[in-house]
Amino acid sequence: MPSPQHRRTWDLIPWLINGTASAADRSLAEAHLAACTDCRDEYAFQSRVHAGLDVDTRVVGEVRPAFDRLLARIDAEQAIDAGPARPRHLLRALAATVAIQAIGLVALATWAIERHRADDAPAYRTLSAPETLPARASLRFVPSPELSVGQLQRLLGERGLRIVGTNDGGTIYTLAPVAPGRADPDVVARLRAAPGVLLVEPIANASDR
Amino acid sequence: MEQTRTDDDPASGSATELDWLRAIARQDRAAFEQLYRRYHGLLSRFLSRFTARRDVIEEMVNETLWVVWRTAGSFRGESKVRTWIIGIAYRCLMKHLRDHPLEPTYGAGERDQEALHDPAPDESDARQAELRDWLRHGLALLPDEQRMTIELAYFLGQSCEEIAAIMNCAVGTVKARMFHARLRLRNTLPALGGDAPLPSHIARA
Repeated sequence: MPSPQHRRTWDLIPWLINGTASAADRSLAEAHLAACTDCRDEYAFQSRVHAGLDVDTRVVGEVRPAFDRLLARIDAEQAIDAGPARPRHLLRALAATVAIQAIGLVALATWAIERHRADDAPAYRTLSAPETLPARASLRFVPSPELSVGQLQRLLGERGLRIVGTNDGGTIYTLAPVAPGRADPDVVARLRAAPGVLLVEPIANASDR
Repeated sequence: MEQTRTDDDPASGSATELDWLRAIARQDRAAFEQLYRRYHGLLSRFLSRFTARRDVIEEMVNETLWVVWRTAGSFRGESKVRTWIIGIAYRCLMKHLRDHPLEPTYGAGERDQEALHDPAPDESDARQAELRDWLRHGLALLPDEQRMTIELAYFLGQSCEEIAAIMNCAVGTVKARMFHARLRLRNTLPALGGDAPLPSHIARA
């Protein structure tokens, strides 16, 4: 049965040969090597491997031309980065503007339809009359201006909601469940936790209407 | 009997390289050239052990140092600069080996052509050449990870811990790879003394 020192020394041999073993490991190994033929043989074998790798050098290419080629690559990439970056940035800004306008148009159209439906109603509301809200409206919702149309659609669609009304400025939406019987009880908390949402408030007694 | 590591990169050199790296993070091309000059030879020699094609070697050297240029700001000092750069070179090399598995390595063809024009070697040179050739064939039979462990330890002089950082693996994995690489080399390189009977505990491993 080999001693722990034997196994330890055998494992240390490569690191003794390449000079990276710690002083403590070196000391342990030297003591064992002096007394162990097997470890000395292995040490000699690994020394020959090390020496064989050490002599194997190759002519290295010239530095300056290689470095110039790398600089040319870096220059080219920086030129590309600097070039299309501005149009891409403008495109993103343009896309965001279009998205906000689209949200406004959708909201405006919804509002116009609702107003048309309400034309038969008196042009005033008494304090005792209930607030006129679209059927099944359950939430007031204010998105961030940065929220795109696609993000808004996904946000509402995943939670089973749709826009049923808006304010005059198109900044506050009234939401209702797509399927009234399947409203998510935690929808307010979920919407509030979503990015791009500034405000979510349940409409009082919405479920009564 | 044992060697003590004599780094080309002592503490002061490491500090210099760290300064260069910080300057490179600020897009300082003079510092980048200094670092490039220091590593071009080292990386070229290391990579030339895996391919004979000089264009590929330069491509990998430049790919490595291009990554250094792009990511110098992300260096957190968790290892030496040298270890970090060799780690990048290692990943470039492994990607090349994966993408070109059939490409002959160790440059036998080119080296043989060069040998035709060499003056007749004396006995000592002949022994060195024979040793080198034996090793080239023996190492070529090792799995890439084992061969890389041997090269990093013996050719670049990296410690076990540094190799673990370079290969992004545990120290124990490096030890295991070194262990198996040594066994295989003993079996495939009898001319180096590998035909000697193995110690009993090793033979059972």
